[in-house]
Amino acid sequence: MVAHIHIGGITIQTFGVFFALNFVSWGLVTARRLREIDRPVDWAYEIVVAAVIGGLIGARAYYLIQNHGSLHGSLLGNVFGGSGLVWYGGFLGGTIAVLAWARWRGFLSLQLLDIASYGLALGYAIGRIGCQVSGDGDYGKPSHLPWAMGYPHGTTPTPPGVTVQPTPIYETVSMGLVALVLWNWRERFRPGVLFAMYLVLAGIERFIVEFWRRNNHVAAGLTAAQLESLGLFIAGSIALALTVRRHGGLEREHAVPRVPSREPAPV
Amino acid sequence: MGATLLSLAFGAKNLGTALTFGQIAFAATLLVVMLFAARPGARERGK
Repeated sequence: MVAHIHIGGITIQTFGVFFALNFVSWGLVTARRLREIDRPVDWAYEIVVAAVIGGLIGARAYYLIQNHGSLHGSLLGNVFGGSGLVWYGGFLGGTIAVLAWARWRGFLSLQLLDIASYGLALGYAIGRIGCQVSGDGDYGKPSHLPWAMGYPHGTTPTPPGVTVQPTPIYETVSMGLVALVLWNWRERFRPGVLFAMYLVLAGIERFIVEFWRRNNHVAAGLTAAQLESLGLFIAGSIALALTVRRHGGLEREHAVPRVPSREPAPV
Repeated sequence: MGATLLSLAFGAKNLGTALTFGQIAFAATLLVVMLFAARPGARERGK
């Protein structure tokens, strides 16, 4: 895999390319959805900028908190260092920033959370390509499966001759399918349901993939990401249960029919 | 799938590397579908 490429004397980190593409894709999909619901399309770019800033701060802060024992040098040097981003920190920071933006715009609603759901899943799927291409250490445990591979030139290289599970590929496929399903259901469910489903599905996905990854166990034989995934799963499940209890179901009252009626329209 | 097979045909070092091209093609296809597929129920709404 290729950690960086050189174009015209400039070195570009491949992870950074896909990190940027994740936000561009999210912005495009959000813009389409805002157009569909008759909201200003420009908001998509404001949302993305807020998410980038909040996400970067959150991802970096989470990394520093998680690794405070092994960091060396000055605090400022560590804060602005070149590596170390944790997805859950980015999720938290980005969520807070987008909610603050929504409050400022008067768009603080469950509808906004639904718009974020498929964007988050899509962004995660694309961001994981960056992990795969750059070999940043998000790969799995040593394996001899036919598709196991080494990352000898990655930013966190595997030892020579060692092959590991390419877990970023699993994550792109699984979260990509989650994004597609949520996107196709965007007219079908009550506000907030898609986001709750995203929490449940993202929690399940990461919980399972962690069994193949090489993160350390922190409690009850589970990794930190698995514990966080459980939190997402429980939060999403509670939200879904509350929706069913309050409204008697998850679907909108005038949801788009799954199978278009073949009966002739009344004259 | 097609991108994976193509990269294998063009001499990808191993199946994992070939799957990486499949991964990129999958994400690109997904984005195109999300951006350009018809809105659910568009016909019913008359749009």
